[in-house]
Parts: sequence; C-alpha cells; structure tokens
Amino acid sequence: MSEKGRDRESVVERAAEELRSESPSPEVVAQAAARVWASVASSSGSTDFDDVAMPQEGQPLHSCADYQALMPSLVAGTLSDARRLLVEDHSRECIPCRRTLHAARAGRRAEAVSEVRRLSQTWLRVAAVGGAALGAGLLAWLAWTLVPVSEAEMAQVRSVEGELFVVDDGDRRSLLPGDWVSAGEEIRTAQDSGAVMRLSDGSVVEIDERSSVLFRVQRSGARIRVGRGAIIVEASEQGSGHLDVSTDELLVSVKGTIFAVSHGTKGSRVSVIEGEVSVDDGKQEKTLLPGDQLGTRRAAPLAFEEELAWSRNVDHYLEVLREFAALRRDLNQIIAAQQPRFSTRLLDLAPAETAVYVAIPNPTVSVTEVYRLLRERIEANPRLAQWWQEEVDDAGFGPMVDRFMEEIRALGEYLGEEVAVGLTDITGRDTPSVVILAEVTNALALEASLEVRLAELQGMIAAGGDETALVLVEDPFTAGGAGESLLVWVSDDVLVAATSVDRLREVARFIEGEVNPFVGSSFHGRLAASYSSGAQYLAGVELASFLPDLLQGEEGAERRALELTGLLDVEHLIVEREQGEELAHTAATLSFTGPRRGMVGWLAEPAPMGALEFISPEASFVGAFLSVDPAVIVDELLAFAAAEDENFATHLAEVETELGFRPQDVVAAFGGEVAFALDGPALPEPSWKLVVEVKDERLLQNVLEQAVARVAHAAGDAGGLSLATVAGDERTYYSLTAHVGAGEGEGAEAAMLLDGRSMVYTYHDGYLVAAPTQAMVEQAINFQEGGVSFVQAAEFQALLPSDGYLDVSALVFNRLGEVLGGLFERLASSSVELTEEQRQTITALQADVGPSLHVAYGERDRIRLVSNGPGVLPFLGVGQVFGLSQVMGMIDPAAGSGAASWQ
Amino acid sequence: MDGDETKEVDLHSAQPASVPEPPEALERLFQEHHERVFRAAYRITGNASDAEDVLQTVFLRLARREGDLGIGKTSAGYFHRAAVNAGLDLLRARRRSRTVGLENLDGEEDAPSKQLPGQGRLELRDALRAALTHLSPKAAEIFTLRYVEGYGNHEIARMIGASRTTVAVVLHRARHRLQKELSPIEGAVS
Repeated sequence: MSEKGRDRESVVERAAEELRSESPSPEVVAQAAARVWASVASSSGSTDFDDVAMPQEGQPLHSCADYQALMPSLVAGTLSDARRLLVEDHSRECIPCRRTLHAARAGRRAEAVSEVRRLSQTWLRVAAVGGAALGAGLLAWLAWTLVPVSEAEMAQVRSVEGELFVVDDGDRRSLLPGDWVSAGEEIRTAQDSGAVMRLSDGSVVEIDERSSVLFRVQRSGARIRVGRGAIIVEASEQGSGHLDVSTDELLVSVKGTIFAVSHGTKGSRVSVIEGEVSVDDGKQEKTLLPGDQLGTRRAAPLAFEEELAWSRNVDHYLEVLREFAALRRDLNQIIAAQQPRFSTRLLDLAPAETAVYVAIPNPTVSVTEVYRLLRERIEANPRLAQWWQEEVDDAGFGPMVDRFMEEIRALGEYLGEEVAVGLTDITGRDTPSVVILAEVTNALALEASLEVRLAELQGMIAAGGDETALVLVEDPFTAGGAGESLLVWVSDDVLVAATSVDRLREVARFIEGEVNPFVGSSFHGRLAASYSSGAQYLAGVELASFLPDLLQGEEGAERRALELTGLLDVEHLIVEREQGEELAHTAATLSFTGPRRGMVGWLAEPAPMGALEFISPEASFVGAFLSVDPAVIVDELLAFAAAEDENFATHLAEVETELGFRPQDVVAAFGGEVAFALDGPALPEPSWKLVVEVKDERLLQNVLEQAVARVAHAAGDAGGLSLATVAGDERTYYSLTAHVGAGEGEGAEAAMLLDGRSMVYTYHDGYLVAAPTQAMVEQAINFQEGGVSFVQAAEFQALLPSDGYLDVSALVFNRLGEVLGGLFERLASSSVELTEEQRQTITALQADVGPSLHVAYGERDRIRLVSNGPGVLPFLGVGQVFGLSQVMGMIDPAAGSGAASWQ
Repeated sequence: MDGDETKEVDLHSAQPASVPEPPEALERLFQEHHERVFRAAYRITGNASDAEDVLQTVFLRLARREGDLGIGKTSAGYFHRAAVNAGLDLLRARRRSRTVGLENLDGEEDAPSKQLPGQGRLELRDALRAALTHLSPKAAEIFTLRYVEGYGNHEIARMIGASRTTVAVVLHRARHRLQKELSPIEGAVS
C-alpha cells in the first residue's frame, strides 16, 4: 500500500476515533432518560386525540393526537428533522395516523391546485371543460383512497361474487363493493361465493367460498385470522411492521409477498407463490420460499394447481411459480453443461511430492453464466425484477454484486477450462504447501488485470482480518517469500499461485521443460486414468505417502485392529463427481498396494445377486452384498480374538459345548449373499425382508433348532425363544418368536418391544427368506417365481451407473426420503416432541427427496464406490422406520389404518 | 462507550400518573439499555438533543411491538444497532432537507471536500458525519458498528444476518469511499 493510502486511511480512523471520544455527561444522560421515559410510558395509553394542542419543540410526543397535531407542519415542511422522523416513523406503523397524514397531504395538493387556478384562469377553463370527467374520477379516487377513516374501517370490499356477509351477534348483514369492514368483525363467504378485500395498508385479500375471515389491528400491522376456508394474500410493503395471517395452528408473518393460507378440519396449509414467508406453528419457525408448502396435522402438501384453482388469478399465480421453477431449471442446466475434461496439462505440472490433487472446472465460467442468465430473466420478467429490487438493490448490494461479477468475469476470460490445486508436505507436522494451477488464454491481459485486482483483493482480505499477503511475482527464480503469503506468477500459458517459493520454483522448472518425477508415479497414473474416462470434478489423495507416518505410534491392540481392517495397505483415494441436470454422479476408488485383505477383503468381486429377485419393484430401501466365503471371515475373526485374549480358546470351547455346535459349522451352511429390504407399509409394523443365500438347508435348520432349544432351556422361566413349524401348501414355514420376561434396568424397554415379536422364514431355491409374517414370505417367493422383481424396477435401472461392470459387489437403494419425508414432516408439526436426532433426520430426508443408488465394486486391489442421485447417506431413514410405530402410536392410535397410503 | 457511568434515573417518578403502566419488560429494557442507546446516538449525531430523539424513537418502536419484546430483541447488540440506524437516519434526513443541522459546521455540510485547511478535530468529526450520509444505509451502519461502536466483523455479520465476507467487502468499500471524501481535509487535521 502506498504512503498516501496509509495517510488517507489514518484520516478515517482518526475521524472515527474523534466520534468514539464524544461522550455526554451523566447528568445529560439522566435528564434525557427521564424525559424520554415519560413519553414512552405514556405512549401506550391515551387514545383521546381531540383538542390536543401541537406539542412544542422539545416536548415529548405522548399519543397519536400529538403526532397528528404535527402533521400539518410536516406537510408544510416547517417541522424539524428530528420531529419529522418521529412523525413519519409513527405513521408507518399506525394506521389512523397514516390516514391522517394521507389526508393532510391530499389537502396540500388541493391548495396547490387552487393556486394554479388563480394564476391561469384561461388554462383552467379549458382544463375544466376537457377534464371534467377526469376531475370526477380523481375525486372518486381521492374519496376511495385518501379520505381519512377511523381505525374501525379496516378493510374495504373490492368485489363480490355470490354473497359476502358479516355475522354480528347472530345478525347477518350482506356486504357490497365499497363497504367497509371494521376490525374485529367476522366476514364470511357463502357457498359458490368469493370476494376480494383491500386492507388499509394496500394489501389485497382474495377469499374462497365457505370461508370465515376476521381482521384485526395490531401495533405491528394488520392481522388476518382465517377461521376456516382459504385466502390468497397479496401483501403490500409493510415498512417497519409486518402483516400476519393466523389460523388455530400457525402464524404466518410477511413483509410483502403473495401466499395462500387454508384451514379446515384436517389442519392448516400455507403455500408461497412469491417472496418469503415466515411460518410459526408454535414449536418452530420456518421460512418458506416460492413453491414451498407447509401443512399441519393431516394437511398434506397439495399441488399448487389444485390449491389455487378457486382463485380468479390462478393463471397469473401459476405463471409466477413457473417463472421461478424455470429459473431454477436453467441454473441447473448451466451447471450441468460443463463438459468433462479428457486430458489436462496441469496434472503434469503438479509438484513432485503432491499428495492431494483437486481439479474443478473454471468456476468463473459457471458463476458469470449464472449471473448473466439471472439478469436476463430479471429484465424480461417484472416479478423477478421486483424480487431482485427488494432482496438486493434495496439492501444496497446491487452495485457491489455487479462489480464483483464483472471482476470475476474479467478474470475468468483469461483462464482456461480447469483450475487445479495440489498439496504437498502433508506429514501432519508442518503446514502443507498449496499450489494452484490454471491454464491461461491471455497472459498479458491477465497479468495487467491482476496488477489492478490483486491490490483490491488484498484490501478485502485485510479488511476481513486475514494477514495473508498476495504478491504478484515477475520472476519466480529471483522472488523471495516470507510469512503468510500467496505468490502469484503468470507464465506464458499457466498461472501458478503457491504458498511456498520453493514449490513455485519447482513448478516453474517443470513449465520450462524439466522432467517431473510425479508424472511416472502410480498416483499420477490413477489420476490420468480418471481424466481418460472424463473428469468434471476430480480429487485424489495419496494416502500411502502419509498414512504410515500418521499411524506410526499405534501399537498392540490398536495396531492389530488396524491390520484386521486392512486399511494399512491403502494406497490412493480418487473421487470423481459429475453434475448432471437431474442427477449427480459420484465415484470413489480406494486402491491398495496389493490384494485386498482383512475386512476390506471380505467384499466379494461383482457377481449376480439372486436374493434381489425376492424383493418387489416398489421397495423403498434395499441393501445387498456379496461376501467372500463366510468361513474365511469367521477364521479371521477368531484369529483376531485369539490374539487379543489368551484365554479365548478356552472360552470358545465352553460356548461351543453350551450351544452344541461350532461357529465354523454354522457359517458352512451359508453362501455369501445377503439382501435386506423395506418392502411394504412402514406401519403398523415395518415390512422388512431378509434373504440369505444358504448352501445347506438341513444343516442350518438343524443348528437353528438346537440353538433355540438350548436358549429356551437356559432362560427357563425368564423367557427365551420358541420355534414353531407351520405346514404350507408347498413348503414348510418356521416361526421364531421371542419371549422376553419383564426385565429391569437399561434393557427393559427394548425387552418389552421385543417380547412376542415373531419372524417367519422358509427355504426356497437356495435362499432363506425371512419376514415378519408368513404372507410376506409367500409374497417374496411369488416375486421370485414370477420373474418381476426389484431388479426390473425402472427407478433402480435408471440409477445404475454406466460402466464396464455387469454386476456389483454391494448396493444400497434408498427412496425413503420420498416415502417418509412427508410423514416425518407431519410428525414434526404434530404435538409429539421429537428428539434432535429425529429432527435432523427429517431435515436430511427433505433435502434428499428422490431415489439414490450406491453401489460398490470389489476388485483384486481396489474398491470402487459409485453414487447416483441426491442422497448422500445410503442408510438415511432406515433406523427411523423401526421407531415409527411407537411414535405414531403416541399421536394417533388409528395410524395403522392409513399405513398403505404412505407407500 | 458502554462502560460510561451515569446516575440512576427514577423512571417511576418521570411517568405521568394519568396514563396506563407500560409493560414491565419495556421498563426493564429501558433501565438496562437507555444509556447505551443515548451514548451511541450521541456519538453519531454529536449533540444531546438529537440523541434524545433517537432514544425516544428506539423505545417507541419497541413499545409498539407489544408482546414482541422477548428473545432476540434484548441484547446489547440489538439496541446498539437500533441506535446506530436511528442516528444515521437523522443525519441523512438533515442532508436531504438541507437545513444544515450540524450546528458547528460551516458551509455545505454534505460537501466535506470543501473543508478548509486549519480546521480542527470538530471539523473532522462533522466531516465524517456528513460523509456517512453519502454511503448506502447498510454500508454506513456496518462502518459505524465497526469503527465507532467497536464491534468485530464476526459480530456484525451475526447482527445483520450476513456473511463475514460480505461485511468485510462492504467495510472495505465504505472505508475507501470515506478516505476519498476526507482526504481534502487531511492536512488541516494532521
């Protein structure tokens, strides 16, 4: 910064310091406080506005009469600034005073007209003849809008279709256009009727048939109470106040927007068409945006076309909604339009010791494109223009946003299609060095632009309290660097920014042609392979370069646990993401230095999964995997346990004697395929299915029967398990039931939930098929035999990734967001107290609405994970399904009867 | 600043007997914060009369909220911000009405660049007040909270519901603008 700049800055700071140093004496504060409190204390009381003289300057303003007495002076322009502010501020929030002020101003305009008339009689005669009709219209308009009305005249009827009436002490008085409704009067519309009301603040309220509405005045603004029926409110700007709409169950607060509120026997619903609405249902406050709906109790979301169908302006409202939806869709298209990159020069320029590499599309392109589209839409659509004006321009951010976008655009024009970031020196001991790389399309222009903008950027960073220095380097080989600095250098065709001068010089040497050892490394090879198949967002971590250092201190049991996981052999993690118009595609590959072993080795290589054929196409959650031979898994676990506990072998022998079989005997009966699904109504009991591959049915059934008998014997009167055999038409079904005694302590509640629960299973076609009821087991077998199952489901097929694999090693399909999101939301708005965890689940489910598919491929030396869809967490919502019946029982004993509708 | 002491005000004795009692919550808030509001307003407006009007405006607005005196409205930050905004409103109203309300300012108060060399600290204060009216309301508020009332960027961001980056950018531009406006008088006050 120049010397002059520092001086100018000090002038501002000195001036601010001068202001800070000004302080009134305690006596002055005390006297002022006493006067003001006298005024404030009295302001909430007196409503007698008559015969009050105009308060003198310095005299506190106590009542509306005081303010109204000053209005002529305000209109005449003779009031002091301080007084004028007080009067204007009060008038914005007080309807009677606002009307009085309007009237005072109208009177002043009339005086001005009279003055003109005296000065120009001839002109006026022509105007009087030619504008008689106009004058009459003007008078009518003045009478309509400016004539002072009392607080009792709260809303005026603009139009009526059918019958609109007031109910007062049993009397029914019809209302006609032009009639006024007082605060506190309840108005109703008859069957096949409708009306439009205009509030004194300019807001317009459209009322549906068979509705009951009551208007009230509050100090903060008007309140509309909807007793029943539906209204649409076009709220005018509220100044410092706000307009409220309430039902028995919620309170909606707005500043200026369009929204609908309906209330009936099943609950209340708010639908936002334009702007922003705050809704308070007594438990929490939510903000709704255009297209959002919120319902209480059983008022489920309803299509806007249906919700607004009764309105005379339905087409207009739907057009507004469509405009916002189109904007959102276009923005998605811009982001999705970024093409994958199949090669890059930047990867070959990364520092030799790069341990983390991240590459993204040039962000300035999409940012400026989004802003251009937004401005185009705003220019073309008055509704959007109004929204922009209120949200951005009126807040004073308009010029700043324009300037910022212009700078981004200018900078982005000189950069190529990709920006890459490399991290080196990740040992956990030192601060990593960061290198940023971008190809340059116009080096001279970029350098000139940076000279100007870096100083400005530096100022912004400093203002934000960050001391990082931005230094534009001319020659990296002569540049120095100390402290927290980011060195920026523009070569002929590449921009390099580095936190270390050594890394900057290293990259400069590679640009000049020196051989980069990174190019021959396996990490580089993995990243290059990702580029060859197309990369949009790419991130890679060479875990092998620093993980051993991080785990160096781990010994003994921790070390053995890490070895059991197999993660000590990990080499790289590569994550790729593509953003499509509708779906996001994310793939992560974890590679190892040799064949997978330990737990990460338990995942089998991709193969067909017959267990999926027992699951219906409508399943809301499916999880399935293929494991290596279960005997291998048991052997590894037993070996780990034996290493941990020298007495393990003795304990194991005791257990084997107790149960009558060895673990190896049990697992020998199983294949390596398992599928679990939520496949049917979630209530009153979750409809789960478990399908397990079985190699030896007779052995497994024998082991199970022995185990149940021994558990029952050991439990005695305390409970246990029972196994019943049910002969079916074609096969035998087994019913396993838990009998848990009334325990005490921590497990008592869980025991009560388990007591009496049954699981029915049978064997079919090499699989054990289990479900809560025999009917569900039979249904599962019907799907398998019928040949139409989850595997053919259109949603599942659409989400399968397009790659070289025919099968997968594991998968999780989740559309619980669709099924449960609305249900949970209704729970949240009910009287049930939900836990914080449940609320977080609701929020996550709402964000992840839409099916998601996560698949894993186990290869010899790597595991590849691919996710398609909006959902990030594969198992989100599954645990909550099993708690639903208890929660629903708390709020609605008859919940089970409606269970089918949630599927 | 806030720590300044003043003698206790007997609010009950100041209240007319003929009007209803105000809510207790309002009285408690007034007891707790009136000094904070008055002193902040005094720093911004530069005189006790205007500061008193600001104090009245702030608490009258609060009184009209009736039941809305609860959570979120009682913090010192809220009252500081309310005082700053009402004070800045007053300065801006003066500029619009061209009544030259800053008693000690010579000449056009909205043209600080015409301040002559040799004027002292008073002129510097008034020049900054005048220059603040040339900023957007949001920028003036953020600048005042940061440099006059001593809040950090993080606190301001939380108070106005914006990000720290936005606050930093607005501050940077506001300071740049004020530097340009005050630079003609820097020789006079250095």
